[in-house]
Amino acid sequence: MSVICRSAVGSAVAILCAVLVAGTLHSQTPDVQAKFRLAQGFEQAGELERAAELYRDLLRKEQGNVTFFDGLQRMYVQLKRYDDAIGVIRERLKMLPNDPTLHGLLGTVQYRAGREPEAMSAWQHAISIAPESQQSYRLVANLMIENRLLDRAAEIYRKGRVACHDPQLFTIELAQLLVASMDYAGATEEFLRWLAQNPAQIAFVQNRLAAFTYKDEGRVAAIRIVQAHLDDQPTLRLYELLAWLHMEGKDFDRSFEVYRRIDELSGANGVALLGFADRVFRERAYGVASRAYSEAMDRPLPAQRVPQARYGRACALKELQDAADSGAVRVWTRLRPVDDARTRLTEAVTAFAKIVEEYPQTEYSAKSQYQIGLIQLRHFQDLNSASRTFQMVLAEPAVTPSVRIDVQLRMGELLTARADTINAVAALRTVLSSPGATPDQTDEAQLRLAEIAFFNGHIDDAVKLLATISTNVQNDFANDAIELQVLLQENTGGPPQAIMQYGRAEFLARQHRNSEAVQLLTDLVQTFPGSPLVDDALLRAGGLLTQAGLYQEAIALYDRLLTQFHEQSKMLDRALFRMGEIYQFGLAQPATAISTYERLLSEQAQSVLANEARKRIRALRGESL
Amino acid sequence: MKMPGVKWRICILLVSVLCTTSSAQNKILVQMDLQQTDHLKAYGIAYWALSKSMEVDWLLNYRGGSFMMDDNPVLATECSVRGVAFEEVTASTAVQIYAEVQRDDNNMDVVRLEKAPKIAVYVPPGYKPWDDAVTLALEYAEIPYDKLWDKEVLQGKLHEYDWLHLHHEDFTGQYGKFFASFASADWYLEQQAMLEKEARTLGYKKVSELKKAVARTIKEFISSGGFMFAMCSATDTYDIALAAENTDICDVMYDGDPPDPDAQSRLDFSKTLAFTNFTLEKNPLRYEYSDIDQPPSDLLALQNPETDYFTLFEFSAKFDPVPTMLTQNHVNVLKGFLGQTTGFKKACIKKTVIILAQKDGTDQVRYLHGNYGRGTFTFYGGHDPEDYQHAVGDPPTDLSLHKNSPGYRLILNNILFPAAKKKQQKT
Repeated sequence: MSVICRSAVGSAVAILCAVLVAGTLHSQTPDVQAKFRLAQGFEQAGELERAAELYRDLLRKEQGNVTFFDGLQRMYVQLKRYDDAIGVIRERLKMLPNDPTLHGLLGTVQYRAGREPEAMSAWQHAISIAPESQQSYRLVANLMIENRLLDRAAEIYRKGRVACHDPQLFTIELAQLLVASMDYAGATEEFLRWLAQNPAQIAFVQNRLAAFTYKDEGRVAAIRIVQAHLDDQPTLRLYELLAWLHMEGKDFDRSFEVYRRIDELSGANGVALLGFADRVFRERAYGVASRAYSEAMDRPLPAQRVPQARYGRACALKELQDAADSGAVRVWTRLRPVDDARTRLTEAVTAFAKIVEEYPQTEYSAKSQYQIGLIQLRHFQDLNSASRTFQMVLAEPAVTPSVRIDVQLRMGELLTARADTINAVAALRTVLSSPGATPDQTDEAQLRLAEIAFFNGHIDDAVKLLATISTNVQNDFANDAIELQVLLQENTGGPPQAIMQYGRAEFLARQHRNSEAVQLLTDLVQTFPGSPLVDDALLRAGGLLTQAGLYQEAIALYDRLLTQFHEQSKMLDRALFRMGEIYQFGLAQPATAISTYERLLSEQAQSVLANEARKRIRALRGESL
Repeated sequence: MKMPGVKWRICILLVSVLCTTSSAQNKILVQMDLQQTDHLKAYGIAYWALSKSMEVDWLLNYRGGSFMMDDNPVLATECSVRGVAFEEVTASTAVQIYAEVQRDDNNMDVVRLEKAPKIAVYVPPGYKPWDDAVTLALEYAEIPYDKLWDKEVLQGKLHEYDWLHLHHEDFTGQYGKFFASFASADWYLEQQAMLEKEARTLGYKKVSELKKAVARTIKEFISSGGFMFAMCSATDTYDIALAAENTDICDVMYDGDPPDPDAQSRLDFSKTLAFTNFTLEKNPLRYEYSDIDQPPSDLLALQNPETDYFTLFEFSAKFDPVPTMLTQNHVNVLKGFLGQTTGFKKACIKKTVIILAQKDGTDQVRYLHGNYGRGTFTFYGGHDPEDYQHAVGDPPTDLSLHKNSPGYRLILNNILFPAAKKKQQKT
């Protein structure tokens, strides 16, 4: 608004000046007009001395002419002849002693001449002509900003407020100025002043604050000021601003504290906390989300919002318990033994079960049932319970089409694990024929069908099915599909019985019959020692043993690959890497882990795993990278 | 009397080499030719060895400027862990290598590196090492460095360091001459306010005055034996600031007052390190400081990266060890790369300066070196050797994808160069 006004005023002044100049020149003699044009020409050509000379002659002839005066003082300033410029301005001041603009100009030239005290005095004089007019302060502040005296300009705005008896004056101008001078606390003060006058403009204030709150020091200053204001006057707007600032800094715990107050002050009865919980869940701050959902439910939350809060809390619990492993162990997740899943996920299952019990035949009931089934299938490996649960989901009248398709996918997975591939294929084909299936759902179905074909020894069918998905690298299942495709294609040259036996072993592993799978894989190595599948088989068997916590047996298999198949294997680096991982995470023997990774670096220097091995060594040595 | 035969002479040479340059033990050779897996980290290994008081011999022009150190399992492991290729050589092979390097008819030599140089980088506080090729290289090679800014320089802290790096700092006080494109950008306004505040705090009315004082102090550091390495716009703006000691070249949007109309004629070229007789760019809106920069910044779009290469000059390792050290590389033709200052017009370079690399068939010098007092300076044109045209806001270069970058090697040659034991010149 102020920018538009300023630009309109500027345009009007420019038009007025043009009219005045045209009018002045029109009434002048041709000689004066010619001289003026010549002076302008010299000025444009950079011949400033000659232009100054002409302007001086012109001004001598017409002492009151503002254009000639302006031209002359401008030339003197350009030529850094500050004393001459000051002289010309003083002469003009004799004619117009109360012109604040002239006093302001005098101050500018004096400042540029290095006479700071005189400049300050001239600017002070400009203000003293109309000390209660906001224009005086604006004029001088702008001149100071032009001379990069940002701190002084801020002082002038503050003085203007007092002198004009208007504490809200220059709020935005001052705030912007303080942002530019990196006085973030001062800027926040001014934006809060603006917010107090315009409570509906919180988005505007957030937008302006965001110019510096992305930086730690800016955000800390803003939080300090908002907090101080809250201590004096706890208002909803200020709490909202404070919560936003904490969220900007990803300080979800503090933000949560503030949202508690917001919920109370606004009488939201938990709805504000629920909104906050959803937001931090999306930010993957599951601990805070879980507590926020719980607290929302402890308040008199409107009945229709309770299932949402309960479902949110249960999902947060599930994520939290799933991610309970430390960061270091998480990198090993794929090989981590399946051990304490039941203990870890009990609380989440109980929470989902209560939703099913208390909100039957609702969307939340169906979604909760599905989550329980998923945990039973993937974490507890309890296929019978999972099957019953998924049937119950399908029987729920409120189940959404998307959840229904997800259930079919899980049933395909479950039936495969039961070795019932005929029904598994039927379930997965249902997904492919569902018009509402998303591309991800369709691709997962294709991958599962390809896996079944591989398990059944139909390698060509598997490859064809995989070809439809592995081209889309954005796809969630693309990596799995590519991995399987590479395995199948790389091993087509060997005896077909070997790859079929490998597929059968994978099928057993899918049924959680790991010891049988390991036996089949080691038999494969024994029967087909020349097959390119030998290293895949030993690595896979080692992985299954690791999952079962049989670390020494796994190491023995990897060692077999390193010794017996040293000449033919292309996966020696992987074997060494996996051995290092077992020593690092499984057996907690850091020194042996380091030496194993070092062995990888010396024996397999070109390995793609070398960089990761280097990182692991340095992490184990306690070096920060 | 029978004169000793050639065989005898070779034997004497080998014995003397054995006695003087190496003890009879196995060595680790960090080869720097095309066999090296990570040239940049190899410099970090040399630095690491020096910091552990190990002696490092830099074999100039031998397999791309290789490093030879006493064999040591800790060193070998460190090379493996950092991904640096090396060869373990027996004592007798090492002697043969030293003999080959020191043969008169080979343009090679051995330079003993003695201590890890203390490195300072001139950057503002809070600066992230994303936009500066040298800090990127130092971080990647794991070479430690300290950050200094105006206050520390003016307080005399430079004398605690051996080597100082300047990157795209603008010593003219014109804030990089970004005004035309970025006058209202937050980062520009913040940078200007920060520099103005710093200048006032340190007692200077203008940023340009502060920067001149900093440039003078750096010159004193070089004069008293310091090594200065500058890249991109820190090169020409540094000399422009020195030349403009007695005049004002900044326009009103940069320092609040107009420039001296006679600024050009008041430039004092006797004060500069490398450049002379250059013409200032007076247009405050043009993204260029002077005619030193070749090609000018506003013509960079016309450059074709496919044909932009420059060539390293070859120097006599035995007679000119310093330029030889600075130009060690596994290739001698390098990919060009642009910067606010890309190259230097040959006509603007002082006769006393050694040209290390030039774009063939043009007057564009890319890399130069000179002495001032007891110290030296090296200027390297362009911004980032692996990002042809690095623009404001572009993501940082990931050096793990450019482990063998010849352009970055030139930077790292400079870092080790102050570690070299001073050797009596042969001529």
